[in-house]
Amino acid sequence: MDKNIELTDFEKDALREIINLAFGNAAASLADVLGMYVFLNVPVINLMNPNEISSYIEKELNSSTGINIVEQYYIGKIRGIAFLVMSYENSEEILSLLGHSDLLKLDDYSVDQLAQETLIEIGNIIIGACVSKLAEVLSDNVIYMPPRYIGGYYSPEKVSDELFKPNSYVIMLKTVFHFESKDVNGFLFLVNSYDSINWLKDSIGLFISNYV
Amino acid sequence: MSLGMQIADTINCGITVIDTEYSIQYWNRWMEIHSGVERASILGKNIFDVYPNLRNPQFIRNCRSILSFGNFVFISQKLHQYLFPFKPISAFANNPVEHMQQSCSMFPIRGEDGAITGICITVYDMTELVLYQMKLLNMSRTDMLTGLYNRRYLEERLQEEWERHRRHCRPLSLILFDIDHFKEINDTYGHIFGDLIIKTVAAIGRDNLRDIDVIGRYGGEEYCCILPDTNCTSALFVAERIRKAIGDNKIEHKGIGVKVTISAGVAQMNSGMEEAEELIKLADCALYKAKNAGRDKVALEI
Amino acid sequence: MKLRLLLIDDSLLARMAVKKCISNLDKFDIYEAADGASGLAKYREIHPDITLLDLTMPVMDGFKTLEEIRKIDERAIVIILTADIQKKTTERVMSLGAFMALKKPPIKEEVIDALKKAEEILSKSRDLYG
Repeated sequence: MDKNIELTDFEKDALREIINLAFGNAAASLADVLGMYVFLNVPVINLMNPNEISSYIEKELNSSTGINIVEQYYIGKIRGIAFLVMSYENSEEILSLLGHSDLLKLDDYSVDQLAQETLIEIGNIIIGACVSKLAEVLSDNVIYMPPRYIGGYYSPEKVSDELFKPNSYVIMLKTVFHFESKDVNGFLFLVNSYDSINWLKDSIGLFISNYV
Repeated sequence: MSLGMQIADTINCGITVIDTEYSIQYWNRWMEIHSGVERASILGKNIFDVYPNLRNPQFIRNCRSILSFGNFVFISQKLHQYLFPFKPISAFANNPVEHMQQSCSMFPIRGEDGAITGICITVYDMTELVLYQMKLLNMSRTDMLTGLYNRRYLEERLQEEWERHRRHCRPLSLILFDIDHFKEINDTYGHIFGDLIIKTVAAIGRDNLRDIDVIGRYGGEEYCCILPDTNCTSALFVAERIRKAIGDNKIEHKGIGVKVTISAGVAQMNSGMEEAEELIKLADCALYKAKNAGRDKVALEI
Repeated sequence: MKLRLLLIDDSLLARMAVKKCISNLDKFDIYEAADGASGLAKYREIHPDITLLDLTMPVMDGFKTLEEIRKIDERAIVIILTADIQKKTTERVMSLGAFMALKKPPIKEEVIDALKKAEEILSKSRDLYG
């Protein structure tokens, strides 16, 4: 890797703290919006090649069965793709998370279809909270593409080449979340393009100078 | 008018902006045309006063996520059908939808300093697409000759009902029936008469079921009825009613009148079964029993 | 005598930020640890007067560390510094015996104010217990 665009240890440490702050704010916003406490674990940060993304995610999800993935692109100075992965036994539990249980009365949709739509909505909110708060701490603004349900398995083809050039790097963030008093948990992966690394270094520098 | 304003007023989608207090700040021409409400009379009004249907937990949650962290929200027509209760454009004859079907998105509006000052809502009219989808969906589920459901949909539906009833521990029954000696009838009176018989039997079957029951054409002269929340005793009763109604009916074509009979097999889902297919198999066994007992009979297999 | 202040936070930046807040106060001897487990070891070793503790840390998180510290000394003064600003989190650490919970990133006035309050408690208990 080009040494000029590598993050120093101190910058990595600062980035971790920035992400902690962002996710702390995100959890508070989620509690406010969803009316429910959402535990977000300390994010794990990794630098990797785009072609390592799929094996990394697969490895992390190793033991999970019956998983469901929602993906959403975000574009600002930081840009990338978010994968929200949830595993659950009971579709109706997912519906109850957003108080959608009454939708089951609609004849037109099966419980699985409703669960899928609900997952997209939950994914949109969790991804939105985490990414927006991260952007906010870095004084950035992002826009989002519509979230998509991409099914029950993770496929390497799904990460588009347009977003990540084969020889570039990505900053991978992983966090585990779970909902208060519900037996539902999941992973959030944020795969950030390395294109804006210079901007990111500047933003981290600004953050450091503000607090140290 | 600025370029942006001209575009917003001419574009073929609805655009409205509300501020952080939910008061309407912008209402484009498209919204005027489809709502029948003029801009001048709506600006400054609270959106919940004008459209009380929006005062629901989901819309409010969406607004909060936008105001709280600048989220983008995408509201699919699939689940929600519409945000604004507008009339569909009248170009569609026999319009089966009461309201314009809408796909909407909501995103933050920011002030000079980047702080969120409001929410922009865009509205796309999806009605034409939805009607087309409904038509396609219907076609993919329907048996052309009888107008009943086809086998593909029957199996899909049985799977769903199977899971639902299993989850809620509710009884689920199945009736399989077919027309006795259909091959001979067909050979004697011809295919056109044969088709008429298949259609007539289908109509009688449907007329003798409840709205929540599902009936489809399972094979050539074979029919299948899914009876939700029904135990086998009631299902036997229903099957008997269908058998009698068909047997009593004379089917006439070009001066020839024919009476046909059916044999029916009834089965109920039980805890020993592992998949929906076993229920069909059991009903099929019952149907064989009815045939072997001399036809024009209803049989139950447990 | 200077007061012993223990900073437990996995982030070097976060520890630097706290030290910057109190840089013009020379009444503290500052000790540092980069995770809960080594923070606890440090606590046993130096018995600090005041501990500033982060919640989200590897090896042993702040909640557990707080519990362990309070087991060692039930009068330990532990000030929580956290990015997790949900009310529930604050309630939880207070019920575990935290002295106060401050929001990250630290604001100078808030940190100094918290330390001042901690010192008052310390001097009171010294008067009582000698």
